[in-house]
Amino acid sequence: MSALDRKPALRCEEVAVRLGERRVLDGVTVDVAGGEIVGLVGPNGAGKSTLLRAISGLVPLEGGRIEIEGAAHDRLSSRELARRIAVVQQLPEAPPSMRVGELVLLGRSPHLGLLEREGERDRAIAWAAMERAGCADLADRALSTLSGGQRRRAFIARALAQDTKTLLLDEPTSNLDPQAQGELFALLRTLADEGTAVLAVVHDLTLAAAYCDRVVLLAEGRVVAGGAPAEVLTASTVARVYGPLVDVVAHPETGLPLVVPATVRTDAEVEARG
Amino acid sequence: MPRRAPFPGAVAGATLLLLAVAAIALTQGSASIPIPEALRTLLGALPLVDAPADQPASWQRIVLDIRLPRVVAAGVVGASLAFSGAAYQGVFRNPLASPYLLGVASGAALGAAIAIVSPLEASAYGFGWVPLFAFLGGGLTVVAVYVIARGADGSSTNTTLILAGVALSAVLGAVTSFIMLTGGQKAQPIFSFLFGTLNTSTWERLALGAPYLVVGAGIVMAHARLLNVMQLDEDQARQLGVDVGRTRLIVLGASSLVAAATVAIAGVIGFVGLIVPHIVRLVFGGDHRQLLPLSALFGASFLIASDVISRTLIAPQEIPVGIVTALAGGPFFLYLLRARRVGDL
Repeated sequence: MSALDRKPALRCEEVAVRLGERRVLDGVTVDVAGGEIVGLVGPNGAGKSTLLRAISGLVPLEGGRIEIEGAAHDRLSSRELARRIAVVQQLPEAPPSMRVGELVLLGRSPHLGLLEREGERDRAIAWAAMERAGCADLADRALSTLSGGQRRRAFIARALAQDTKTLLLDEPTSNLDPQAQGELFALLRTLADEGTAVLAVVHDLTLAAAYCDRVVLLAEGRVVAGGAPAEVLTASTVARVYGPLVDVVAHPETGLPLVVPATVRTDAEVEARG
Repeated sequence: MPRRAPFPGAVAGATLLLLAVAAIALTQGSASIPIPEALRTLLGALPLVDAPADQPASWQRIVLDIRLPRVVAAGVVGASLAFSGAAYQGVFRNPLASPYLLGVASGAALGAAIAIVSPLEASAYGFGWVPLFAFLGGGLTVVAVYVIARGADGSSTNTTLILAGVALSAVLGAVTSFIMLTGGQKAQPIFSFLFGTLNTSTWERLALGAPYLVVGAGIVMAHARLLNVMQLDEDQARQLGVDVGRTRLIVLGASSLVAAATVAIAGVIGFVGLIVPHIVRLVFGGDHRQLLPLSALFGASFLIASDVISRTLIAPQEIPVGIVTALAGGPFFLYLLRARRVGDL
C-alpha cells in the first residue's frame, strides 16, 4: 500500500487565512498521510509558515477547514491538538539555562492534567525521544552551550516526546551544514517509515527534491503545483514562480532536480534572461 | 556544568536557615534575651506546657506579644513577596519583573494615602482602614492595568501589560506625591507606608491578610508546571496545549492578590520580590514547582533578617525596612548583573 492510499493524518481543505488586510493563504489544499514526508516549498512570503501556524492553531482560519486524524481542527481543544500535532519552529526560544532533558520533558505537557506531574512513563518517552533525535548524550547540557545542530535536535526531541501522529517543521535544515541536513532528513525518513506524517517547510528546493516524497509549491498564498518533486520542480514551473535567475538541472546519478542559481554576473545578463 | 542541588535537600536547608534566622530575630531588640530563654518562652506559650516560672514576666510579653508577631509578619510578607515575584518573573519570562510591575504598590500607596488623610477614624470594626484601602487600591490597579492593556480582541501581550502598568503607576504615584505635599502633618504616615514597615504588625492584621495569601499562592502553585511551559515563547507554549492568555490572567491575578495582601500588611517593600527569586533561580534552576516554594522560604529569611537590621541598627530609632532591603539587595543585584549577563539567567 503506498502512502497516498492511506487516510490522511492531516487534511487542509481550501484553507484561507487573513492577517490584517492581507490574505496570506487563499484556498490551499494539502493532504499529508502517515508514512510520507511532504515538503512545503515556495518563495519568501508565499504563506508556508502561515500554513503551519494555521494547522497548529496559532492563527484563525478565514475559510476552509483543517482535519486532523479525521477530526475537525476547530473542535479540538489546544491540548487535544497538541496531542495530535507537534511543531518544530524555525527559531524557537527557551531560557538559555534550561537543560535539554527539561526541555524535552515539556513535550509531555499536553498529556498531563493541571496538577499532574511527569511520571516514569513520561520520563521514559522523553528519554526515547532524545535517543531518536540523537541528543540523549546532551540531556544535562544547558541550551546555551549547544551548537545550532544540537539545538535543533533538542527541539525535535521535544516534539517527538509529544508522541503525535503528525509532525510539522518550519525550515528544519536552515543554518545547518550539509552533513547535518542529511542527518536530519534521515531522521525524518525513519520517523515517516514508522508511520508519522511529516510536513516540513523547506526553503532549499534541491533538499526538498532529494528527501521529500511529495512537494507542494506555494506562491502568493495559493498552491501552484503539487506532486512528486521531479514533476513539480520543472524548469518552467520554477522559473514561473521564482523568476528567471534560477536553473534546474538533473542530478547526474539520480535524475532528481537540482535547483541552482543561474550564472549571471551583470545586470545586463539578468535582463537578457528576463 | 555543576549539578543542581536536589530539591528535598534545598527545602530542608532553606527551612533550617529560616528557623535559625527567626530564632535569632526573637532575641534581638532593646531587651537582650538569650536564644534558649526566648525558645523556652515560646515553648511555654504552647498549650499543655507551663510557662517558665523563673523568667521575668516582661520577657514573655516582649517575646510573645511584640517580637513574635513581628518576626512572623516579616516571614510571611517576605515569603509572599518573593513568591509573587517568582510568579511575575515566570509569566513575563523576565528576571527583572517584580510583583509591583503591574501597579500593586502604587495603587496600594494611593489607597493608603487616601485613607490616611481622609477624615475616617483610624480603625473601625476592629480593623484599620489603611490596610483595607491599600489592599483595594493595589488590587483595583492591577485590574485596571489588565483592562487597559486588553486589545480589541480581548487579548493582551506582555509588552502592553508592562507599559500599561508602568504608565498607570506613574500617574498614581504623582497623585500620592500630591497628597503627601498638601496633606501636611497628617500625611506623615504615608512616608513610612511607602518604604514599608513591620512595626504595625499585629496578629489581627496577619489574620486578615492570610486567606488572600493562602488562596493566591495555592492558585499559583497549581499552575507551576504550566509556567514552566510558558518559559518557551508564546507560540510554542500554545503549540504544547497551554492556553497562554488564560494562564497568564490566572497567575497574575493570584500573585497580585498575594502582593496586594502583603502591601496591606506591611506597606511597600522593594527588592525582595525582585532579588530573591532571581537568586533562587540561579542556584536551584528554573522549575517553578521548586522555584516558587524555595523563593518563599528564602524570602522569609531575607525579610526577617532585614527587619532585625532595620530595628537595631540605629536603635531606638527604626529605619523603614524597605530602605534596608534596597541597601542590602541593590548592590548584590548589581553585582549579579555584572557577574552574569541577565540574558543568561
